[in-house]
Amino acid sequence: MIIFKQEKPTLAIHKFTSCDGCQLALLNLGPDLLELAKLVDIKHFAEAGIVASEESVDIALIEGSISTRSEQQRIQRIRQTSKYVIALGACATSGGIQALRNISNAEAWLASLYPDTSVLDSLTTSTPIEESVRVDFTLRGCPVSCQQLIDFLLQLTQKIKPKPIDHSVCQDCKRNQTSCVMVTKQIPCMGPVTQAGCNALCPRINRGCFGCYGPTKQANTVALAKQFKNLGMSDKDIKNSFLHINSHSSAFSTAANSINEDDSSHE
Amino acid sequence: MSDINIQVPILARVEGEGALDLSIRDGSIHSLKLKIFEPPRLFEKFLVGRHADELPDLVARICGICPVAYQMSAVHAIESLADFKRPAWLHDLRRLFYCGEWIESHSLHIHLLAAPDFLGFSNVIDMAKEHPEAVNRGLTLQAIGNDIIRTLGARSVHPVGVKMGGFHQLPSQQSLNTLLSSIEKSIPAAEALLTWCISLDRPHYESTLPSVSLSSHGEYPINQGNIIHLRGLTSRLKTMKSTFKKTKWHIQPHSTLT
Ligand code: SF4
Ligand code: SF4
Ligand code: SF4
Repeated sequence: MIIFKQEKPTLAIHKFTSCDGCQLALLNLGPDLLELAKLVDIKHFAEAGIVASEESVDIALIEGSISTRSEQQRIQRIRQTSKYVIALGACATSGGIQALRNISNAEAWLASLYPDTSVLDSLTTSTPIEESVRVDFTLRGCPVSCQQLIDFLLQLTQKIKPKPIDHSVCQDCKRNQTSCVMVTKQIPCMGPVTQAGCNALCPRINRGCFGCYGPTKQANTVALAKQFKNLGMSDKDIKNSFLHINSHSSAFSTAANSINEDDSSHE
Repeated sequence: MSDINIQVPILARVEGEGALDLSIRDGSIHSLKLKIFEPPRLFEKFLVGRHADELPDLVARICGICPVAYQMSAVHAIESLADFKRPAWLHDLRRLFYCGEWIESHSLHIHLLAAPDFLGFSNVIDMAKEHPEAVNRGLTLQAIGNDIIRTLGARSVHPVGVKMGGFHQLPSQQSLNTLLSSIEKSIPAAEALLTWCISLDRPHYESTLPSVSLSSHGEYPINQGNIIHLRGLTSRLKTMKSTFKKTKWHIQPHSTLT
């Protein structure tokens, strides 16, 4: 059961390691942003100029991943003061594109880029929020769409438990009656293993999905990797299709690990 | 004279994260620290070894407010390595695409980030109560910018339409006609915005720092041009580094110009 502390639920938007793109789902609402302000009491949204980061709230939307020591501490404080913690977008749900450091020598990367790494507060990993604290709801995507976020907030503020999405991009493709780019044009597409939410945007403009919504439940990555190989992709490129925006998601990292790259004859 | 200490742990209404510590003693600045604690994301490293075709999708994630800027830089950099000559139609469509981002990002910046400071509000929601017309005009123009990006890139944040050598799919004549008519309808709003911005009380400030910009004949330079400086320096993009080395300007050792 959804219960709020305040009759008009209070909301905070917190930024962690991110590109700001998911918060834009709110800043891009246009006049609906002013409508949203009638539905919820926005307590903290630094980019919009509302600052009260420590205040206790009903709904905390978290954009970004955990990649610094201070972020590790800040997310604990937010968990304590928030009734519902919502991970927003690929960074918050899987560590995001910056999680590519997790499978590399991040220490050497930092040392080669910054003259003095001792002044940096940067971890060698970028991890999703749920590896640090309990998360109540997740919204996938890089970025989350305005529609997705508004639907979610409308349900939650009406005290309806928002339903998670767990079908693949392929199913939306069928619903839209888009012809399959992988079957008809031999364009590699991550749609079969990617969670829906974008309304199958990429196939609609004649290109393959690159998995920005992360793995769907029961993703058959082995079959897809085989299909990519049949389409003539090199092992390295197949591996990189999984090591993209959601590389730290276990379904994608397992898929990448199972590809043996010694086979460089294809490159 | 009294001392002033100002500590701002989170700078509001800016893109990214920062903090400010300022202390004034006896009328002069004793210490001033601007801390940018936006954590490194290491694009410089993880882009290495990726397929060139992946770049538009990867570099977009540098910034959600201006992804087109990065997509354009990436495709133009790789295309110039391949000596690809952009046909006129592609030049025009990319320019339209990029203008869409400028309209979206500048409207957002002016109304949601900057204007509340000029008019004494802490945020746009409060400002909208007293200046509903200005805020609505800003949000309408922001939406037009987003429409332009969406027409060519399917979505406005991290659009997916750009590829090396062109676009994955060209917009239909019909969607361009619809776009054109909404752009034409919004021209009075854009003009009103300009008049409004000029009327805002701005502090007088002249910088002595050398500033450089792109310059391109016949059009406002966003996608191409030479680098120029007020004191007559001109450089082609390819020789930029050596041109800057010849100036006596101090260039920070960590700058990408060195
Ligand atoms: S998930 Fe994507 S759009 Fe959202 S903050 Fe991260 S990089 Fe930006
Ligand atoms: S285009 Fe991609 S997402 Fe659509 S049906 Fe084919 S494989 Fe699935
Ligand atoms: S089709 Fe795939 S890559 Fe494209 S927006 Fe949807 S989830 Fe992201």
